Amino acid sequence: MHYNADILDDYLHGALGPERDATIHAHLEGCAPCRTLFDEAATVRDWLRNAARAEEREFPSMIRARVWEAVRNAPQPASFADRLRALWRPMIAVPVAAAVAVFVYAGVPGIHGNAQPAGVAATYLLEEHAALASDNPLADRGLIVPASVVDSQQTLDTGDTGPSSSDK
Amino acid sequence: MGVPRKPSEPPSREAAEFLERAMEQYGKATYNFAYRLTGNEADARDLTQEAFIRVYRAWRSFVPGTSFLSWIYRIVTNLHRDELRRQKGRFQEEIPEDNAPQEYGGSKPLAVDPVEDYMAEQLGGPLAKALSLLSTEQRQVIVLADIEEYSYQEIADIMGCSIGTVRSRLHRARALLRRLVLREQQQAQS
Repeated sequence: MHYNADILDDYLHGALGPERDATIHAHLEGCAPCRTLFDEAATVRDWLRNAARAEEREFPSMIRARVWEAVRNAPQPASFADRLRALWRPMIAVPVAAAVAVFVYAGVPGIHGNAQPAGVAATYLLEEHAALASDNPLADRGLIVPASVVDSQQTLDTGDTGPSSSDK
Repeated sequence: MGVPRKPSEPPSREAAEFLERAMEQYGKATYNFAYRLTGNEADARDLTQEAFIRVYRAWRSFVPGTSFLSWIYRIVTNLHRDELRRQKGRFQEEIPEDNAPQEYGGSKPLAVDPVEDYMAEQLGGPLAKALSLLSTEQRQVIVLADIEEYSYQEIADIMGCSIGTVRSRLHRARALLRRLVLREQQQAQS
């Protein structure tokens, strides 16, 4: 029996349990093909580490300067209290606005859609009364005039007839 | 609805000290990690810079006693992944025309394989070249496992995935690298 490269990679990385680790360790002592595969895995890992070490770079000072510049110029993140206030704002404002709207709708007369202006209703009732009270219901209801006009007309009539009667 | 941001204020003393200490102790490691992920210095600088700005903003969420390096590697990994997602669908690098020998000052002969030649020009060293063969996720796990020497569990925590996913990505990546490294070693010996 031989182990595949994946298992040997895990063994190399120390990612197996102690029991399996011990089994593979013993197997590698006496199995040349598995030993070769394991050595290859170790070679790759060592190559990666050596290459990484050789290519290691210093921390550029310009990064530090840029970070400080960004930190000083950036707006401060909102605090927890600010976030809470922002969250509560719609939660309070929306119900309050709804309550005000309901109160206004229910409490103020004349705001309902089916309500008629008072003047129109009075005219209608006046016309209806005149029609019912008239001897001729089909007569022109345009003769109905407001009381103020009738009063002023009567005043004028009185003024015209006054002097003539006195003359008489 | 967005949360209103406060106007710019000087950083608090505690936050400033935390950031300064973080850059002092872990700046180099973070920059090298970013360089291995990106394969070039300009992107590595941007990535490292953004990572430390995030560290400053979230410094209170760091749990004392835990590994700072694991935390910032996680930040770098996420930033790198987000950046690649943003770039998805766009060409990251343009391969130049191969019929322009004057670009090399006329001294260099025209490449037989311009793509191969371009890769050799662009990539820093053998490690960068080797890592460029891998996908982003494979590169991340290889760097964390074989160079930074994290355990599979730690890598899973940093990358936000399962151990099984880490293991399968590592196996595929190592198989690719094995072929490349062994071929290079054979060429060096012959």
